[in-house]
Amino acid sequence: MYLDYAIKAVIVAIICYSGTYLWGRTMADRPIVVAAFCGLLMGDLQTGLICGAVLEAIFLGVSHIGGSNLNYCMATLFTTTYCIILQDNFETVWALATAIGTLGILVETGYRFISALFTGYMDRLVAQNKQKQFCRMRFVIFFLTHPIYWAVVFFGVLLGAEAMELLLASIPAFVQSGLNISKGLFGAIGLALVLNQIWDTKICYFFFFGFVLAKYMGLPVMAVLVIAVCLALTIAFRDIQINKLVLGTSGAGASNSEEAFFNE
Amino acid sequence: MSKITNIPKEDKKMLHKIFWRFFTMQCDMNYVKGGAQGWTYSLLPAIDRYYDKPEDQVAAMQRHMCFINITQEVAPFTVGLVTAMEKENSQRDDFEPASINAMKMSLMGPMAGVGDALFLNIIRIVAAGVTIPMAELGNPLAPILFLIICNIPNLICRYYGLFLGYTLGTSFLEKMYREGTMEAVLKAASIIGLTVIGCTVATSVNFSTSLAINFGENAYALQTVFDSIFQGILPLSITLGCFYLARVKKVGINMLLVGIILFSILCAVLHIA
Repeated sequence: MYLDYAIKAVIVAIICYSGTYLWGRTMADRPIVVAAFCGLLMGDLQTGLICGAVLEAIFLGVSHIGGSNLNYCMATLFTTTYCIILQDNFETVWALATAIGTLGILVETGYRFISALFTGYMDRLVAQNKQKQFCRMRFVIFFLTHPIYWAVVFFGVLLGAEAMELLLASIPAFVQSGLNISKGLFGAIGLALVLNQIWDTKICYFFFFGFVLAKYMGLPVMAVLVIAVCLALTIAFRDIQINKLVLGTSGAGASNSEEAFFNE
Repeated sequence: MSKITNIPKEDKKMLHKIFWRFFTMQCDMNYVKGGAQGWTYSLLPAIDRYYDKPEDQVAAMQRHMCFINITQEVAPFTVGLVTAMEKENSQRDDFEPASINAMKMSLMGPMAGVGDALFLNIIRIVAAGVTIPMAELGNPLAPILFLIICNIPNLICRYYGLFLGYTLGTSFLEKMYREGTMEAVLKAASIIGLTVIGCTVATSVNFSTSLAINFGENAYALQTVFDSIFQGILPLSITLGCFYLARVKKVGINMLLVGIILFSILCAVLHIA
């Protein structure tokens, strides 16, 4: 019954997840892109966009560095597909996002382990100077390992949607209304984790600056961004000038050379 | 910028090949080699050009098969550096080949730190802060704009990083660190990131209380009181609370999510929100 959705989810997985591993790190595996793409393929772009916004806020603090490493791509694929299929109870589905992300990490570790099994063979190819084979093997490894991820996505969507339906039917009303409230707070988690990564006690007050600009002055994000960039550049240039003074180079010569660097 | 791309045509062709090959760096990544196989693959145009004898080529390839993990976007700078060093190694007998790996390893840490902070964190956060509100309103341009904001610095850094590393070498990095330019850039990026996060918290986190206190006939809505103290104090406090839990108490994202859900259910049951 859900075969259609499962196939489309795998297509998104191939293009967005594996695509970003095969070709640069284009950030196409971030929730906001994956969810919108799912929505586009499955014919419900609006749900996709909304899911993307919420999930991106939840996973904003999660990236390939740091302790909280979750496979946000798999989480997004599953939750967006379920939302599109079920068309209701989005908050309950979103609540499962991080759990699915943990599953995704297990899958990633699994297929990377398989890739590691080839290292002996690759070393031997290098020792024998078999360059063309070496190049070819790299892509063979790619096509041997990533299908594992695609298979998990396929079966997860196929079998999971029915399980989701049963789960949602059995949730009591007070939990439902609780989850409605939590929807507005999901973003707090992601943003708190991001703050954890970029917090710097010397300049932390800019967080409140941005908050006030948006809350009290009602400025949209682009406006806040431009103001922030202007301020940041001023401070950065002044820092560089001070450093050059401290190092003993002449003030006029230093500002000329830095202008020349940026003008070229 | 033009003075670093103004190099002989042969060199440019080789660097272009390396540039395109390096995009595939992550496709066979694992925990044993990191991105080493991708590095070796990308450097093959240089290795084949500078070394004629098969033993030298093998030695060069084996040099680069040891573990390496640098942020993809800034790595081309190191790749350019390594290319220049391999060229010197092939032309001079007294060049110590081990210094190539030594330099690679020593740059791995700092460059990964700067690269991760700038690309994985700041640029992505700014892009998200700008496009999440657009996506919430159902604007289909949101994911496209996200990809554009993330990838333009990505491409610029890769291309010019590669050429910078090849032509200017380590002296460029040393100059940047000595003059404190690197620190200034990171600080500027952090300022921008923090401000955008503050703005995103203001717009994305929503929580208000419907509690009211009855004084005789009048009912004072607590939310109005909170708003008159500071607008948005409740969502701000919840976000900072989660921040405290994550930073000081080292609570993970799964526990935070469970906590938020329990808190919300509690609020619903007690009719607080």
